[in-house]
Amino acid sequence: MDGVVVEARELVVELGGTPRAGPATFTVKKGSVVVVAGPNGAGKTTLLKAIAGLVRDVKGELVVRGTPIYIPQSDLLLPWKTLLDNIILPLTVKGVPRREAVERAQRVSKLLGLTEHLEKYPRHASGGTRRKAAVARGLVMGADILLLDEPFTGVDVAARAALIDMLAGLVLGGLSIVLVTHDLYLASRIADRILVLMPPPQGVVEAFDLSGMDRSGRYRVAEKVVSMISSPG
Amino acid sequence: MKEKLRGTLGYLVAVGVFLAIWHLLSSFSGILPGIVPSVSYLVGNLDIALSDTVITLENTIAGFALALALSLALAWLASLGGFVEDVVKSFNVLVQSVSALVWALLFLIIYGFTSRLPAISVAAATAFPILLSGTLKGFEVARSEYGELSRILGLTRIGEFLNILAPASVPFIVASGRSALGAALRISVVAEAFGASGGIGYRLWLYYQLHDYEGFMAWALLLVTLMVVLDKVVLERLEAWSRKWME
Repeated sequence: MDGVVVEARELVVELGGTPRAGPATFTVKKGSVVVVAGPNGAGKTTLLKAIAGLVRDVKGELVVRGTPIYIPQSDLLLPWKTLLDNIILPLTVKGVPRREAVERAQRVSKLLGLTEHLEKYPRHASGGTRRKAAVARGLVMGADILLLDEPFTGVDVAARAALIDMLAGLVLGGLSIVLVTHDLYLASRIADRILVLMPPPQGVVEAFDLSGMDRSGRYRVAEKVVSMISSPG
Repeated sequence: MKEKLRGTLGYLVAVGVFLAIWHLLSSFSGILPGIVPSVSYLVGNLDIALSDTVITLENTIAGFALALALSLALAWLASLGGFVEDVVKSFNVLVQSVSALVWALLFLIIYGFTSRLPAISVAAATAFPILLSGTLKGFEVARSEYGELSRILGLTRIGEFLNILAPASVPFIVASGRSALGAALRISVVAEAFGASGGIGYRLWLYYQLHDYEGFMAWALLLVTLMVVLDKVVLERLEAWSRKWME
């Protein structure tokens, strides 16, 4: 399909032979944001990992076009490295010369508003800055599809808004995002679609299209999703 | 500040107790020299003391470095998991079960007397299981914390070892290294005593055989001082630094 970067059809992700997510049928268009919402244990993280190729035990059909990079809930920044060295790590381990890696990291950091924090160690950076650094590390890897797992956890309110703005900017640049979050009101601001995922065997029970909606329309959808998740019956 | 002061005071009291025991042993035995003659003996033979200290430190550090290299290699092998991990862990238990005296005599049989190799090898054999246990624990924790990052970055086993496992294990390696170096220093002098031509252990044995008890106690004091200085000045600071490494 033209312009589609992820295509899942009756996708079921298994761990140790037990279904952990799905069945799920959905597509992610290039330059769009798909939010995956659902109760704990629905398999949201497992679904992201399957798209990233980190979990390979899948049934059904899953086509991924481009480079998906999974950014986990804990940012996994190495505490003994500066933010800059964390960002360039995927490049230096692949043998990219440091100078070239730093140039790439600086370009991405400028885009994300990280430049002034690059020499900091993770322990000296705020939650929002650490998140941005984790995203920057994904971007220098040449990500076309960012798979973000609870990116707002541990981030203060102001930084959450800045993160959302940053993600909106990336989408305008052609990046596709699949976002797992419990903060649906915030995510609805940039979401093109919201998938409601329930634990197997239910899987994706609803998909809301938000494109073209104004902010109040988006909040109404978010409200509906929240009520579906809190009273799944 | 208050805690630091209390710590220093505690240390001074411990030194006082130690010296009091020495004084009591000296008074009751009638043979062992007191503190003052031993210290003046040491001061009077500073050149020999210095040369023995250098030899003992060289033996210990060489053995420690050997044990560290071996521990890292085996911990990496164990990180492959499965049967290899079981073998490495069991091997560690076996090595741990061998007495330091057995190691000392064994290496003397292998390398012969007057060589420095027995002292180095004994230091390595003593430090090795302590270091390996710490390194294995470090790798285990690093794997649980950063294993997902390795997969995301698509790291090879070697890449994971160099970029994640080894650096993330630094606090564990340093903490176990502190105990390992202390043990290696204490034990390497035993090998020096049995078959070497220099070092603190050699001199201790020599003075004992010559019934030169002032020299014996002076060199015992030298060994204790060396261990305390090494621990307080180098290892304790290194451990504090390594804890910050992972914050």
